[in-house]
Amino acid sequence: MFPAQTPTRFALCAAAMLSMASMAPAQAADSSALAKDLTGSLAMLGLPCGQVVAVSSQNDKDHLATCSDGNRYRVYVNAQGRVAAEKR
Amino acid sequence: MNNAKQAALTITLAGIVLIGAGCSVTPSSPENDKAVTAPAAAEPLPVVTQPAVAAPPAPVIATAPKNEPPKAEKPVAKAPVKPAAAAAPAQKPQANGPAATPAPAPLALDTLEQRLKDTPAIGVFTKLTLKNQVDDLLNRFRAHYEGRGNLTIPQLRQNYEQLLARVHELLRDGDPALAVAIVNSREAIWSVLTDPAKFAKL
Repeated sequence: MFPAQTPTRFALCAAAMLSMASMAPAQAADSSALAKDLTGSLAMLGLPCGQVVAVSSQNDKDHLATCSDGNRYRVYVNAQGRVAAEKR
Repeated sequence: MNNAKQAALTITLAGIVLIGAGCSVTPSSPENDKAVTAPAAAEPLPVVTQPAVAAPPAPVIATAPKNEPPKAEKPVAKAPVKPAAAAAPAQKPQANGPAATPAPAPLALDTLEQRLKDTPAIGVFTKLTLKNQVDDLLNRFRAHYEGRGNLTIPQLRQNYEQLLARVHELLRDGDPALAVAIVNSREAIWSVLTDPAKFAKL
């Protein structure tokens, strides 16, 4: 109906997607690093996990880790400054 | 002329309105809607339900084992054999140097500690867990020397080997040089731990 609108719309959408795409790798890298970190921490604690495949963070010191073997753990730093893991 | 100006103004205003409409969600173009929502669907973190606030009936809390060796130690206990074997070939290239040192010198404890703190191969949580476990091991030795521990030296050695094996496993890929250095320092560290006089200075 209004052909002149299409390029503008494409430009706007492309700009939006580019800005989102530029943020996504940084978030993915952070998430991947945290997953690897929690994998190492759970391994040090001797808990079965395999690899941490998903992380949901409550805050910097409190995370819910989902493992490749299906186990889920709350991994957090407790009041004594120790890393603790609770099976969920 | 006035009619032409009015027409141009009308077209300009219509263009502005249409551009604005293009940024908003319009029900008339489902294909474009998909394109906008797709990146949102591709966000890196899968959504995990968050029952974290509601406490489960009986959570099993696992911190680093304090007094007893963990039950899953047997499979891990085999690991130190491999690093020792793997460390031997790694020493040979350095032995070809003019200094003719047969093996890299064991790292001093403080150097080792600093390198573990600095390595990017493991994250903050892993480092803190490692620190907890090193502290636990030192406390077990301290208790042993004070006569209040229930672990013998062979049991402490087993704890020590398990800890080294786990550290080696963590560092093997990300910081192989440090992993080898730790393996090479194994006996030197053990000699400090098992000498009450040296241990007291830690």
